[in-house]
Amino acid sequence: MERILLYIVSGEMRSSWDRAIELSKSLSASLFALFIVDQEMVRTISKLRGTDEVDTAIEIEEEGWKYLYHLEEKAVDNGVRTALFLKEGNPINIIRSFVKEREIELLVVGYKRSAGREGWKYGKIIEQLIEHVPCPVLIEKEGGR
Amino acid sequence: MIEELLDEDLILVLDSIEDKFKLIEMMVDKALSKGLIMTREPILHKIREREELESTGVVEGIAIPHARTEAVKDLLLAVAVVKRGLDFQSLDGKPVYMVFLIVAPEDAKKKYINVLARISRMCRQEEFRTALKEATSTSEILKIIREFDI
Repeated sequence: MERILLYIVSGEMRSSWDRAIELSKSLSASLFALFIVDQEMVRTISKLRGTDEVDTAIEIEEEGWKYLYHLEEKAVDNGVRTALFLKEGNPINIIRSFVKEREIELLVVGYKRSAGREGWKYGKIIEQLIEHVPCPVLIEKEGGR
Repeated sequence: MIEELLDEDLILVLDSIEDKFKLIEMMVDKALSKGLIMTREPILHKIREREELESTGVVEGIAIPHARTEAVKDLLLAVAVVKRGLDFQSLDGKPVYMVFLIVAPEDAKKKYINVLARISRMCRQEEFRTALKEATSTSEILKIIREFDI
């Protein structure tokens, strides 16, 4: 296996980061880390906070880059070849295209049960990823097994 | 955030250069001549090691080589604009026109990540990339970075 993709959702899902790094290292694979600024999420957060959508998107994007660089630090410390990507749009469409274009052989995502609409939405994203992404999907349960 | 780190003397405008490590050496030497770094070799070694693992050309036309090392006392930011572009072995295979070199002390991880994140976000803006690419002087580059650093 040469190419592993880690979909970074938040800084909370560190078990999936560790798993992706561990697999990349043991398989000598390149690790691609992807953060997506989900436009629907931007709209929802802006509405809830009563803030401007552009400002919210800027804030989320910068936070995303921080996650990516934190991940990179960890991966590089482990001698794993790492490439960072940040994209905007619908997560399912972006990940599906990314997997095809970059010939990704394994997608790693974290999963943490959380209440409310956001938890439900993320569960749906994972379901759709399993259904639509043309490669195996490894779901790493966060916060205990 | 970026503005306070920028020093006009650490901005380079070049017509062309063939080797990415040569450019990084030039940027490091600028900092050395200003007394901002203690020794150049550990920095060059760390940057080379990181670049050999995977290119830091992550945003179209831009590379952000970065490292943490005890060879610097404070976070260092240097900028280079290469008018004719440079092969940085970027993931997209396209030439790089702007290089942001970021070197931080080992114990400044939070600030280092924050600066990397801010610059990466700024670099994703097409207007920012275009303005930098067209800039002809160090003062103009400084002005553009200030303008987009929000």
